[in-house]
Formats: sequence, C-alpha cells, structure tokens
Amino acid sequence: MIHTRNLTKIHRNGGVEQTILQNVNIDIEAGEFVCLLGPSGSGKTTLMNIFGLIDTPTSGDFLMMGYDVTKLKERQRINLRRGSIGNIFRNFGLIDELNVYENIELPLQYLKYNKQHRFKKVNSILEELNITHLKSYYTNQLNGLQQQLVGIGRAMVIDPDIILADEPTGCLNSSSGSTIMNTLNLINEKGTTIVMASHSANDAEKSQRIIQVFDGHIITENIKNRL
Amino acid sequence: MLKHHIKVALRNIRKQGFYSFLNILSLSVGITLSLLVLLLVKHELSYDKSFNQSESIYRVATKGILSSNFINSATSPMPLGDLMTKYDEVESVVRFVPGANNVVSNEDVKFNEEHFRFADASFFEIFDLDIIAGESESLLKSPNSVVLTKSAANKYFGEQNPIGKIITRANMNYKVTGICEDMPVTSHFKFNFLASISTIDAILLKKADTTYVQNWKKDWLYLNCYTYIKLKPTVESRSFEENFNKEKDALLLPQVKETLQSELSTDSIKLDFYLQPITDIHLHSHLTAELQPNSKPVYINLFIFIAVFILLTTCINFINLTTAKARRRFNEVALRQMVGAGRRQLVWQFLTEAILYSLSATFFGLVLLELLIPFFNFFFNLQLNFSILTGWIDFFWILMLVLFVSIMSGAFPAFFFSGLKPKHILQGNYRIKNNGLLVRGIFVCAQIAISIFLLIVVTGMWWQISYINQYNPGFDSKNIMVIERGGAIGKNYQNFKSDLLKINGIESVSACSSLPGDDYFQGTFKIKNGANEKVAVLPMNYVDRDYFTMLNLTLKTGRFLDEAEGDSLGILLNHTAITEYDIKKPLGQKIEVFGNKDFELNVVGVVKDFHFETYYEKIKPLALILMGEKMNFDYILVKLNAQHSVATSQLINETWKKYSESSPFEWQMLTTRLSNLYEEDIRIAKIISVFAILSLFMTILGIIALTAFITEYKSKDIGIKKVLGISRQSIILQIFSDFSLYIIIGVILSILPAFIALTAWIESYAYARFLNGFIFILDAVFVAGLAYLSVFYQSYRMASERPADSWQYK
Repeated sequence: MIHTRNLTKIHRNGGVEQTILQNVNIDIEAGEFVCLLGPSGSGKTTLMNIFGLIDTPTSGDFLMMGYDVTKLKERQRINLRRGSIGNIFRNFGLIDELNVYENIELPLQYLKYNKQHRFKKVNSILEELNITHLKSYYTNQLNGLQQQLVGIGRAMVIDPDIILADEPTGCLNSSSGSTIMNTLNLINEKGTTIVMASHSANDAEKSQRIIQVFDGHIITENIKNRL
Repeated sequence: MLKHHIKVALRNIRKQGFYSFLNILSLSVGITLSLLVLLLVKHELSYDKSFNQSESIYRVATKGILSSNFINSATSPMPLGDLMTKYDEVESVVRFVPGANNVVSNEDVKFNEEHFRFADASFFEIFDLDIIAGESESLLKSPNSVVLTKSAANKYFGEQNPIGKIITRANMNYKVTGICEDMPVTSHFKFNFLASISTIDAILLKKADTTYVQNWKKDWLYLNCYTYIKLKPTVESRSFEENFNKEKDALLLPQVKETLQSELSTDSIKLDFYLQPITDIHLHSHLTAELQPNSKPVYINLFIFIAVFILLTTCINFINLTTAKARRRFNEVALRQMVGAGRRQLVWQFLTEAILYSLSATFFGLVLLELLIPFFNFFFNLQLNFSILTGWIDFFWILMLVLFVSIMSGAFPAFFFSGLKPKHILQGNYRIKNNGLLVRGIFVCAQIAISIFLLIVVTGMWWQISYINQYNPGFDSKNIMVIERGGAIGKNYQNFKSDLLKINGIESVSACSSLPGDDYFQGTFKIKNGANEKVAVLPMNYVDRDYFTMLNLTLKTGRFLDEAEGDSLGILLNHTAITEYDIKKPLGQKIEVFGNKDFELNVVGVVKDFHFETYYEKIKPLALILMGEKMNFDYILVKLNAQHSVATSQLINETWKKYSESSPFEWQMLTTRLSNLYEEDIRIAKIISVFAILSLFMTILGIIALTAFITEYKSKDIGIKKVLGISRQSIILQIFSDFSLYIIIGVILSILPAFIALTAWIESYAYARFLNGFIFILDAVFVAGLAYLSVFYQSYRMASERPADSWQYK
C-alpha cells in the first residue's frame, strides 16, 4: 500500500535549512493498522502529510497504491486523494456551518455521487457508528467523542483504501480515546488500511505495528502482531 | 453542489453577524448609490432621443458677425425655413416662435402661460408625439388653431372634451383642434400650447401694417424663430451644411448689401447657419436664446466617475471585510481540500457567497432606491423614474450590476482562499501576505483621497455660492417685490402706480423690461466718435424714471433719465459702454438707431457699472432708456418699507386685479429671483454634497474593514507583544503608524485634483472667490480625523483583548 525508500524532507526558509525527515524507509501493506509513534517535532505529521498527498518529499521514492506519487501532477494527486484516502484529525476537522449529516456527506458531494446514493451511504455510516440520532446536530452541540466519531464517519464514507489518522485521540479524555481506538480497530478489521500518528504509547499499543520516529529517523519497528 | 454552496453561504452570513451586516449595508448603499447615479446619467443622456429617427433631427443655429459683434444664437431667420424645404436631402422642416408669457383663459380658468409656441404644421412630422384627439392631418394648418398637451387640456378643460372649444390669449381666440401627449421630460424645450404659425400674421397686424408683416417673414437679418429639420437618413449633415450655406448667400447677401447701402456703413455683416443634432443640445449647446438652460458633459463624466468609484469602493470594502475574517475560513478551506474539494469547487463556493451577498444587498438597495427616488426628485429637482416591472432594460442593467459587483468582490476572496495550501494551514503557519495588504492599502488610499476630493469640491462650490449671495451687485435689491408680466396693466401704468403709492407699506413703485437672468433686448446703434463710426449692439433695458433711485444706482456723471427733463429721446449708458466704445465725452453724445437715420438718442448720463446680468457674465455695455407711454413693461417693481405687512400684499393684489382685468397675480422678491439664477449650480452642489457624505460613509466602512484586516494580519505579533507586557497605548500607536501612511498619501493625492476640478467649475463664473487654502487643509484634516477615529475604535478593541484570544486560532 505504502512504500518509501530514502524519503527525505528538507524545509528551506531563506538561508536556513532544516531536515525534517531523513532516509525514511517504510513498507505498509494493505489491511494493516500501523502507528507512527514519536514525540512532538519528530516528523510524524510531515510524514502523514506526505502520505496524505498534501505535501511532497524533497527526495527519495514514494509509492502509494502502486503509483509513483512523486511523479504525479497536482490534479492527479487530488484525484487519488479524493477517492482513496480518508483523513481523521486531532481537532476533528469538522465544518461548523454543516450539521453531522452534511459533514459526513461532504466528500461524496465532491465525488459527485447522486443524492439517493449519498443518502444511502451516509445513513449506513451513521448507523454503523451509532450516531443516527445526532444527524441534524451542529458541531457546537456535540461533545469531543461525538465530534471525532463524525470525523471518522466522514473518512469512512468514501470507502477509502487507506485512513490516515493524525493523533485522533489528542483532544479527548482517556475513556473517549479508548472508544475511538476501538472504532478504528473495528474499521481495520473490515479490511481498511489505517496509518495513525500518535505520541501516546497506550494508543499505539492498540495498533498492529508500531513505527517509532525520532528526529526524522525511523528508529525501531515493533512487529509484535505479525508474529 | 450549488444547493450546498448556497446553504453554507447563508449559514456563514448568519454566523458572522456584525460583519455580514456591515458587508450587506455597505453593498446595499453602494448599489443604491450607483443605481441612482446611473439613473441620473441615463436621464441626462436620454434627452431628445425619444423621437423617431432623432439622430436625423437637427436645429439650425446661427453664427456670424454683425459689425464687431459676434453672434452665436439658437435662433434663425424665418426665410431659412422656406429655403430648407427646397432641398431633397431634407425630409421635413419646422419653425416655431416662442410666445411671450401671457394669460391664457378658458372662461373663468386663467393662468399665466410661459410655454405657448407658434409652429408650422409640420411640427408633428419631426416631433412625433402621439395625437390623443383631433385629426392629425389638419393640425396647425389654419390660423388661430391650437393643439394642447394632455396636461394643458386637463388644466383648462378637466373632464370635458376640448376639441372645438375656444381658448383666449392676448385678446385673440384660438380654436382647439387637437390634443397631443406631453412633451417628454427629457426634451430641450417644452410647450403646453402649440398654435399655428400663421396666427402670428394676425397678431402682428394688430400692431403694424402688412409690409411690416411681410418684412418680418422675409428678413434674413432678424433671428426671430427656431428652425428644426429632419434630414433623410443617408444624408451627411456636414456636407449638406456647406451646400446650403453657399446657396443661402445668394439670398442673404443682397439684403446685407441693401442694408449697408441704406446705412452708408462699411461694417461687415456675415451670417452662417449650422446644424446641431438635437440629441447633442442638452449637453453641448450653450448659445444665446437657448429655450431652457442646458447641462454640461462635465457633470456626466463626474457622475460616471462617482458611480464607478462607489462600485469599486463597495467591492474593495467587501473584499476587505470578507478576507479580514480569514482565520475563520482557513481551516474550513483546508478541510474541504482534504476531503476532496478542488480549486474550482472552492472558487464556486466563495463566488456563490459573494453573489448571495450581492443579491440580498441588491434587494435592500432596490427598496432603498424606491424610497429615495421621490426624495431625490424633490430635493434635487429631478424627474427620475425607475421601475423593474415596466422597463426590462432597467432590470437587465441591475442584473449586470449585481453580476459585476459579485464577480468583482467575490473573485478576490474566491481565488485567495482556494489558492491556500492545506499543509500550511494545518501546520498553523499560514499568514496573509504583505503584498495583499499593500493592494488593499492603495484602495483605501484612493477612497480617502476621493472623499477629501469630493469634500473640497463641494466646500468650494458652497463657498462660491455663498460668495455670490453676499456679492454686491451694484444695486439695492432688498425689499423689492417683482410683479411678473406687468404688461397686463396695459396703458394704465401711471394710474396703477399712483394707486399703489397710496398703500401703507410701499415706499416707491417702478418698472422695467428686463431683470438679471433675462435675455436683454439688443438694440443696434451707430456711435459717432469724431470721424469714426461704430456699430454697437447694446443690451437695452426700458425703465421707468423711478427705477434708478429704487435700485440705488450710482451716477458717475450727468443725471438720471426723467420725462420732466424731456428725456424721451435720452439714453443712459453704463461705464463699460463708455470704455468699450471709447466715448471720450459721453454727455451730449448722439447715438443713432441703426437703420433709422432720423432717430437719434442723446446721452444724458453715465451710471456706475452694476450687474444687470448674472455673475457668469462680465459686465457688458448697457443702455437704459425710458419706456414710452404706449409701451408695456414686463415687470412692475414695488419697494416695500418697514411698515409693510401681509395686508400690503393683499392690497397690492386687489389693485392689480382692478387694473389687469383679473390676470393672475404672480410675484416674488427680487432677492429670491436673483438667488434663483444660480439654482442649477445649487442643485448640483446639493447632489455632490450628498455623494460626498455617502462617500465619506463608505470610506469609513472601508477603513473599518481595512483595520479589521490589519489587526487580523498583526494578531499574532500583537499577541506575542502582549505576553511580553507591551502597553495598550503602544499597540494602538503601532496600528496608527501603519495606517498613517495610507491616510497621508490619500490626503496628498486628493489636493491637486480637487484644485483642478474646482478651478474648472469656478471658471464658468466671471466673478468668483476661490476656496481659501485653509479650508483645503481643514477638509483634509476632517477626513483624516474621521479615519483615525475609526482606526482607533478597532485597534482599541484589539489592544484590549486578552493575549490568549489573539492566539486562539493558532
């Protein structure tokens, strides 16, 4: 699903250069639930942005779903992202002006699904996540857990090949965090690849494989569940 | 997707509360104002365009030299019309002669009527007004027949059918043969009554013999009518003009030769005729004897400029207000991009929002326009009308305006937001670029500059208007009542005068034939100066002997005219006449009436110059002559003293009725009459004042928007500084110093154009006082002060926020 070789990312700001990622080699196969674990500033988010096709590496190879992503044009990258990648954010990333139903429906609108089709898909997601009763609520009427469930619902609704979750429990208490992790596990069990970034070892434990990142390097790979 | 965009936009408008309100208010006012100005421009440009093939209709004007006097008049001689009918190029010709202000009556219904014209039967071939009643083929063909406009018919006959009825004017009966619709408001002349031109023969025969009437109709040197022609569509007007000017010389020159021979004069007389497209008259023609005051193209340019400026300002304020709250939208844009929104979809989203804003603003704007139009028409003496339902063109232009405003104002936020990179926003390090700030600053500079410009221009206009109100005209106009149409008294003037003098409250009574603002009767004289002879065309005023003392004119030499001194052949000149014609010894100087060698006038005195015309004109030579006993005065002047009361006017009215056979009693104070001469300028000054105030309002909105944007732009820096303990004053001072540059540039940019515009306007006056330099500075300081005040309000709010608030989005 994701293969990187000697992936490097350097930020240039005037005369100052800062290496964010250095020689990152990662292989993530379809159906995996992988956690990138590391402290703040380790390069997790940059790596997630590159996986999410909203940032490009400075050098190195990056293959995603069989495409050499570094050679794709912006439009092709948008198209790839639009139908194949679901994003989950630390701060939930919901649009305030839209209610729960509309937030989940939004990606389908950009994918030009017809109304009936959207209705069917959104309702099935709402049922799956047990939030049908919240569908006409706005984000400011929801608690953190409910908001993140909506965020997950929006990522799932396009049936993505991969879900990228950037610290999905970062703004939640431990109980809500645990619920979110269980939900992600359930999604993964149905076959969706999940890549999660986190600095919580607790959350990381709930993934299948942990990749530790520090100062832009991959330090260790825990492959406990593979064995 | 469109439904989605509309839904989101509506929710955003609701959510942003105060900013949405400011935005819609600014857009509504902008749209209303520009629509008003565009209506005004449309009104001004539509003059005389409602007639069929109006582009082929021309007025024939006269230009030339008579002795040393230049003539450029809207009038032309009668025989020209006969000549025109002979050309194949001409489809039809009409001449008309304006009748004097006179009483028209239908039994007991009597009114003074100014717009009574005598016209050829071909009038309706050129000015194709609808004939509501009467047989259109026979209209104006027989003498003493008249066509009434619809409103005149209502005024005199109410519900009755006027056809075949008789109206009376100056002891002459006219049979009503037709009713036509009213002349469009946007025409360069008006009429309420149109009598057949052949009636003039009968009128003239009452006063003179048939030879005179024939001469009156054949005289090439007497500019006594207005001639209009309609050319065939393919005819080129310039070459036609050249042709007929060559041919008219064959007819005109023998008469010139004859006149010069009979006068033993060597002066040159040369008259040429030229064609004025009637559609150009309202804006471009300023000849003598215009049928009504015309406008100037500079006003149209000014109005178009104002409309464009208002629209641009509106758009810029919209952009500033929309993007000022950018932080709120950054995350939304990034998230949308993350879930698959392409640039095009984002552009459409923001454009939809802008269109929604414009549409709602247009709705409020149109309501405002509907409410304002009657007020505007009343206050500015306009006749604008506006209707979406009846005029699809209006509606089309409004749609265009909405689209223009939406696209102009929506395009920038749309491309601004859609061009954002999600990774930057998500990393929290996105900042609005400095160059954006520069562009916004330039626009706000322009707004400030234009506000100051308008304020200076309008102050300058009022400055001049107040100057002319206070200017000493050289005569005393206080407490003088002017009774119009004094001719109604007829030969009983002296009796009327002595009756009036018996009324308590009246100091003196006098009369004259012209007052400032009138076209003076021009007399042609021969002035002998040693061996030299000069032909002089002098404006003349026939007066009564008390005229001089009533107006308190100053004598330079000699004495005032007086019948008791045997001055029926006496003439009084003003000082300019003496200098202009180089009369060394004016007293006793003989002045011969041109064309009548036996008729000589004797100069008895010279008066100090006074303004017998408006302040637009330099003082010209003037001749004052006593009115003969058989002649009628146009105005009766009554000087009131301190004892006058309401009863005085009632008694004057009763005396008037007794002598004038119940003619309408119309009067006004001379001071009012004089200040009304500048009505058009006052009207324009009022309009520009309103625009200056509204432009100031828009500028303040613009400054609020830009300050909102600047505080947004600086919010992070300010937050950090606050954490470090900077004082509120320092923060406000910092924002002030950022803003000062725009204000100072705005001030500098405005001064010179305001000076140039005001100079151009003031040049139309021969007597003017230019705005004091101090006022220039005061205007600039006033606008700058208002600008600082609105900056202060916002920067104070920002400086008072807690540091955490400044960072909450980071």
